[in-house]
Amino acid sequence: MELREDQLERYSRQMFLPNIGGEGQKKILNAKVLIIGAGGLGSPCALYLASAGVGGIGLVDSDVVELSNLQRQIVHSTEAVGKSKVESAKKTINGINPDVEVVLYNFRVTSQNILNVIKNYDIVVDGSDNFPTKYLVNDACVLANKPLSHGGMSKFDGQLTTILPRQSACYRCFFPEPPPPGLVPDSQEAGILGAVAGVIGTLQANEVLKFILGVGNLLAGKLLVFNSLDANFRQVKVPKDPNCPLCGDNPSITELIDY
Amino acid sequence: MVNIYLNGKKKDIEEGMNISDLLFVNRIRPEVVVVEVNEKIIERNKYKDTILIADDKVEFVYYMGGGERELGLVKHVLEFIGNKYTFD
Ligand SMILES: [Zn+2]
Repeated sequence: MELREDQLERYSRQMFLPNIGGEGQKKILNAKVLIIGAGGLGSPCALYLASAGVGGIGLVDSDVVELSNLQRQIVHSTEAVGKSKVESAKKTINGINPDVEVVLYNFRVTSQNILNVIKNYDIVVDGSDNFPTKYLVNDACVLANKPLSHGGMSKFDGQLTTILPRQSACYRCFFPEPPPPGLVPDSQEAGILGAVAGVIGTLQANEVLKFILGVGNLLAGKLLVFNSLDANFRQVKVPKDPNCPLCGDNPSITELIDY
Repeated sequence: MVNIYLNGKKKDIEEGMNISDLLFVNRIRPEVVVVEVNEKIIERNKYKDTILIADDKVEFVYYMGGGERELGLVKHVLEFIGNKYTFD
């Protein structure tokens, strides 16, 4: 594959980087990334991956754009209110970079369909908005041996980790079971600052690009916790748990669960 | 007093406190966090036996969802900010 003239110009600022160059850019152009959730985390992540030239982006979301989404879901515009989120995101992505092949999955992932969706991709980004999906995505990625960037946020805080199945800790190594329903508030009670979603989703894009390029140190075995009020980041080490119900030595979870 | 680090910040606590005590004085329900001490996750049934000593690095790590679910938020926000007006 030879880079076109316009591609050389479009990607020149990142191709100047010592670890990227023409070879790295080709890796990015050939990469396929699945983003689950075209919302607060998925928006900035999708925008930066598209800008960088990721060749294939899959988007999973069954919702339509609502006015109250726009405070943080920056891939959508006011005119998209009432339209499907995946269609809206595709329009924005291809507006920035028409080379990106965007594949739309206008449904919810379930234990029945998720393995079929993730199998076509090099890495998965979890930008979902609820714990049942977060556990389903983690379990599916570990069982299918698919790298995963996990992100979450609440109020003024956010966190992310990168999961290399069976090599580094999975989400269950840390949080073995979903929290009791109702105890961990969603934004109905908690709210969320849009810029926090931007920070975490952008860091997820950063992890994906490092993974594609094979450069730097991934957040594997580490949870990066961001607190926007103190403007501080902490890395919490997450060892792989030999007793993990999913990726441990004697796993009790061997098939997908819909919570 | 004993000096520990809680989520990266220096904190004075009373001598002999265990993890259950620390959660209690911070009004945190154990169900919503995972507790790490010196980079090791502490199982919930060991909280009472884990006495904190000087320079322990304690991390309360919270479950975080997507912050996206918002049915109801629009209805609540006016109430929340102190306006009696409601709409559907
Ligand atoms: Zn695990």
